[in-house]
Amino acid sequence: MKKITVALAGNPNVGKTSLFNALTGAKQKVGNWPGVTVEKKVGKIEHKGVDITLVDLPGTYSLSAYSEDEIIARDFIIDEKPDIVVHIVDSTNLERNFYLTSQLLELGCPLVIALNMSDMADAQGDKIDEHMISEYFEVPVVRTVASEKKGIQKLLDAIIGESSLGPHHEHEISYGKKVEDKIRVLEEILHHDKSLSKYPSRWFAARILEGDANALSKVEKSSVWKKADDFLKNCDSDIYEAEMADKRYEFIGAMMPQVCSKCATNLSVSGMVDKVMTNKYLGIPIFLALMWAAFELTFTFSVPFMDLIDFVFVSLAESASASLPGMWGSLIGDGIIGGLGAVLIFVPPIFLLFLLLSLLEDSGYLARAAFIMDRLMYKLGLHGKSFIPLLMGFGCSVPAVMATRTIEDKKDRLITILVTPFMSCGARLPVYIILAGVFFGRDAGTVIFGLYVLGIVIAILSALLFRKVLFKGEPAPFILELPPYRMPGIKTALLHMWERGAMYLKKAGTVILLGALIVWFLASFPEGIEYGSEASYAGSMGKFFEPIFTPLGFDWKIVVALLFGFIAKEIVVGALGVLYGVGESEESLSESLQADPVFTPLSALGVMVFTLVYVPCVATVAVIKKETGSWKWTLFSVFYSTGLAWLLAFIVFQGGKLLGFA
Amino acid sequence: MIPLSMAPIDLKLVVKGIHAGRGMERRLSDMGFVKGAEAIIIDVHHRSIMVEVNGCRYGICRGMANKIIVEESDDMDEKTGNSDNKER
Repeated sequence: MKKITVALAGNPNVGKTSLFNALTGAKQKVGNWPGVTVEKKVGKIEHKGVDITLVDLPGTYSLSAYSEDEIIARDFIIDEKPDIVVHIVDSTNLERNFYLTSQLLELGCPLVIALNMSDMADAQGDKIDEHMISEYFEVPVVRTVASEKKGIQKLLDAIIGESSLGPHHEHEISYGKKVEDKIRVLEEILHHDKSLSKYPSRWFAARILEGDANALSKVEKSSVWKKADDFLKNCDSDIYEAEMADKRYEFIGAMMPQVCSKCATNLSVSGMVDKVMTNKYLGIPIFLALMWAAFELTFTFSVPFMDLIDFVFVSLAESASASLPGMWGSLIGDGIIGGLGAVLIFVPPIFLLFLLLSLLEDSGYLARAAFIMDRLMYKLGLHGKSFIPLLMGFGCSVPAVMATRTIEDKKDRLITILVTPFMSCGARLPVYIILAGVFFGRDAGTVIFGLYVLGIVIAILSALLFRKVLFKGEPAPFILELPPYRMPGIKTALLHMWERGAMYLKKAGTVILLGALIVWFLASFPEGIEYGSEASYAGSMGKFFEPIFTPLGFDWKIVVALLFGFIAKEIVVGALGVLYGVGESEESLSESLQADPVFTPLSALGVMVFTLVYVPCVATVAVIKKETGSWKWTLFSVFYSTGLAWLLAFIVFQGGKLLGFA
Repeated sequence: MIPLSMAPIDLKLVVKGIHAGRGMERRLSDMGFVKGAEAIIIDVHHRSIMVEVNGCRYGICRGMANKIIVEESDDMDEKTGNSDNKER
């Protein structure tokens, strides 16, 4: 069977990931943030008897080797020589997208253009003539709407058609006599070293001429460096670089009226919206109001579902404990069903929160939020782009820490990594929901919102501290793309919700269940003790550490739960479920907590604050180590957060007592 | 000719040049800030401005905006190739 490799290239935010999904059926996160596709993603499909391997390249604005992503994309095209490169173009924004097209053509790879989001271009009244585009670039052009899986078959047909043509002439843009003469001389010089022959000669010469550092480094190692260097000394690469970019835009500018007679500039409505949404004075209040509404909605709407799940699991655990003999009843009832139930009960709020964040993300608002917050971020020693990872931190710290890769400056990035775990992730929500739900009743939504705000404040103050003490200097300059506002599709939002939620479910089924079992084991042994009592191993552990936490108003049960929270913060709830013997009696965890005199609204608040701030979970610590490449900063993160958590919980408990809240 | 960071809001501007180091100039040109490109400032914040160029919107810090030189656009003087696609 014939086998071909197809690479997907394109600007960020053009629906590249959606198209990849539509082609392969794979499920991935789709977002509005530049550089969201950092990892290499591969999918395999079959079409008309051809095996197609699809590779999703990082989203880039150009192939100029300015950033890591661009180097990844262009090296892949040069080194792996994919049979076809599909350039995915945002139809509502042809002019800028064609800039990358011009560079891809120069690389000499067989190209197919996918005019994605063509429905939106039609909707705003653009009249795009794809045949004309095809004629100008001399490549096949297909209209697609990835979100609705339209044009996918046609695109595959075009890919296969183009791949069967074999090597053939591709269009190239002329840079004018002055530049072309230089390119020709350079091509001749470079031609003499065989090690450079894998690079398309015209493309490579052009890059050298404009002083592309990545390309130059390759020539420096070659035998023709001296000759090339002598030649380049007489060229002002800055001028050539600008001239070549100008020529590209000139070419595109000249073809635009032909290929799109009525391309709209979408300033009108969206411009007005942005003026309000990102207004100097209104922007931040609007942002806070939206976030508050999201958390209120989450809490209000998930309560009935949570009650239902609670009821089911409590009854299941009860009947298991009652019908199975001795140790088995306890293991299955308390350990497995109790532990799992304690986690699953939080599926409704977590899914709902993910759904609301997905809607905001897909609408294009989250990128604006980063812009609005930049002013504040800067004052606090952070970078405008830091805001995106920080927002992702509300979902899960692991992808959030990875998302800091878009920040070019090292110091900016390290500070962002260190403060991201303070953003309250989804795993911490279960702890708040149960404790706030039990001890703060109707005000639970407000208390939870307050904890999220506290997390933000801690992140910001820590960043300020780090910038002042550890990483002196100014945040690097930034430019951030603000994608057009879009009506978020409920289908896509539901898909995102499911993808993120599924990670939670998977974690619940593995790490958390295992954690809950360990907790059950430590709570049940040595043999003959009362389950979850002070005499158990867990009890001894808790007792051992208890003195450290007494000033915070925590007893040994809370200490044990927090210790296990290091595996994953959701386990705090599961462990409490086990330690309070949920399933054994008729009480649910909330009732047991309410009955325990140690738990007052004040100490519950202390536990929530501690959970918010203390050491990030194992998975996050691992990813911090990976991304910083340094044990020093990883350990710093662990000790800084745990120390701070203790201090804050101390202030809450002792301060509250002084104020008479006991 | 003034830096974009100081240009008036809501007025059609034309990019006249970029006075920056190699990396930044390239990066800006990749995003559409090239000689002759039309830009319009949507909003100005303390440290950053929101600007639209070639139909794409960006948040850009003033430091970078300072390096982009613009001029108020004279509609009659526009590049012929662009006139009918910008003027809808």
